[in-house]
Amino acid sequence: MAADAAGAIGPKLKDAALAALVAIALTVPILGMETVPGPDGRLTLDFHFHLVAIAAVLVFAGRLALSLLLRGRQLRPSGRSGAVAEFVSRHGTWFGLAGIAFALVLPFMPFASRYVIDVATTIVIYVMLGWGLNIVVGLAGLLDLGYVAFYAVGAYSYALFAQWFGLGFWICLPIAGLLAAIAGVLLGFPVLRLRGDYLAIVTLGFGEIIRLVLINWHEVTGGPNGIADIPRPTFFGFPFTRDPGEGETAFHELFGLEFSTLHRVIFLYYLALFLALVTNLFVLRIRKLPIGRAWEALREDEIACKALGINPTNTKLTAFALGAMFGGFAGSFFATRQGFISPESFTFIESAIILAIVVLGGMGSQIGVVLAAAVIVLLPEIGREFETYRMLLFGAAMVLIMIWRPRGLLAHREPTLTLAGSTGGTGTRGGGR
Amino acid sequence: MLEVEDVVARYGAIEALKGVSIRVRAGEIVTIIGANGAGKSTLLMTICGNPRAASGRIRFDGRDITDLPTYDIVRLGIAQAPEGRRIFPRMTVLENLMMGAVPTGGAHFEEDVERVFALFPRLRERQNQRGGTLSGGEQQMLCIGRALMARPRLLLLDEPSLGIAPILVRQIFEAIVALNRERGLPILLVEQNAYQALKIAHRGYVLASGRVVMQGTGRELLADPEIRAAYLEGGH
Repeated sequence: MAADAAGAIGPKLKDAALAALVAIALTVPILGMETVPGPDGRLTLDFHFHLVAIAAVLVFAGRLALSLLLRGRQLRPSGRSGAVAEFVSRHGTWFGLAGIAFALVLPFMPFASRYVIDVATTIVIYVMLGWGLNIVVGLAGLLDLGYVAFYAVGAYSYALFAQWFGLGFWICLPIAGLLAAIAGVLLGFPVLRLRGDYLAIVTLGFGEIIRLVLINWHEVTGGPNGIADIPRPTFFGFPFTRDPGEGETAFHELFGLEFSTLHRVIFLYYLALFLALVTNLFVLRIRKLPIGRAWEALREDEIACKALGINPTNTKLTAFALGAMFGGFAGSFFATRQGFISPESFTFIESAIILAIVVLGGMGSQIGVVLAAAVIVLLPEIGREFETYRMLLFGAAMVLIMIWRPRGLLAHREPTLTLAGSTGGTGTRGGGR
Repeated sequence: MLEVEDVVARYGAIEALKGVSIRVRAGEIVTIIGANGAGKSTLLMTICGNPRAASGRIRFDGRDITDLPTYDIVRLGIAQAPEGRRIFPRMTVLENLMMGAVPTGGAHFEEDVERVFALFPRLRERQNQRGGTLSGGEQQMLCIGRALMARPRLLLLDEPSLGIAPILVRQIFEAIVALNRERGLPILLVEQNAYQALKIAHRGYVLASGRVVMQGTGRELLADPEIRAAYLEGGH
């Protein structure tokens, strides 16, 4: 026993030393050097190599302790994750209904402050974006790194149509969806032949092109200054203001309530929830239609699809267009919620976050997306107290989750089709008559 | 029924077919045998339009299909069980069969599924299992079943015996014969297992280096000493 431990300590020391070396390489520029203004106003470098040494020693000790504590055991994917995922997706309807019920009563819970509702709205919007992108990435298997472009198209469509023509939210919503879907087809055409990494690179470029167009097309988009004074949402024509204009009735007057700024926040929350549920119903339904199954088949094997009489061009373009449409809806909502949009809101990091939600949730899983969106929005919020180290914690948490559940939180796929009256074979004699 | 006339097909600079002509008549099993790289699979793929024939014509029921896209060719009634089976691993057996029913729009789905299950009872037992969990032989059954779901008028089979346990190979060949005898379905069968293929085929073609080097009835080819030496020695 003792001999075993002694024999094994060598490689562990080596491993820890290696980790310390990596730490040194990383911390020399981050901790070890600081630019400070010199006496003549020019920047000079200050060196803090003692910090680097401390970091290296900490990493060495930590890594060694970790490998001694874990001994032979490793951080391993949880063995039961498959069973949990299967349970959740088999009873998906119940989990879904419970989730919807909770979401519906949330604003009236005792803990529901303005902050809580705001965060909940953000989660719901990311859930909707995740479900939209799930069509493209999860179902059709087309890796899209530029999804934020459609979000931007939707947001700018609403902002511009509302400003130019004074159109309301509900009229702009389908227009924004349509324009985003057209953008989706425009992206889809050139990338039809690409897949995997190549597709990812081109979609990434597409996202950047849209952002650069927004920055440089001053006359229309206002350039980097963005668009301000976007009309705020009204409750079917009744504004959420304290003093409505001549001849107008405000929301609180309509229902005889005391005026509160919370009304609008709650209304926005329900609006987001409504849009998200529409998205979900749509995706649940379409998965069981021929086009939805064709997407999944296309993800599995494109050549087989062609041999079965599926037109891959149309199938891919519909996936791009429908995925983009929901991105456009979400963008419209974003614009009316913020009241101000600029290209800053539509950077690559947004695409990355939405994609992370889809992957973390388990590609193609609807409930998984909800969990992942909650994790991704809440983690940085919870970490706010850690200030500078917030994103560090966020990164560490993501790494741990992916080690624990490499295929996503809920990676089980429920079949879309069973024959009536059959119990189906699970390897035994099921299904016979 | 199917006429392939002097077809040339290329992969880049490599000429895989150098002017091949074959015919499948109504109600026939026709087999194409030949060594690795002779162009057998290419010929099947070219009939389906991928790769497209660089020259020559392909006609199905008198209609020129040489320049049609693959999915239109399938919709005309030519179904293919491609090489390597290519079933959808994460979808269930039933879902795989549903994908085969795309050209019919899913009409008579349950009736057609019953017919596939009658042909391959194993698939009934496995209907809710994911395709990737099936054995190689079961996957081949699924692959053929999926092609049948399109209600084809001509079935193309690419190496259905490849990498499959001998007992399942026998079952699959029996099913092929049954399809042909009972439903009159014409079948174009590409095989390396020349002995098995020639035994059930009405006629056969021998392909070598992208050319038809010999043709005849199944029995004639089986008896031919050259063929015996080249393709059948130790092959059964």
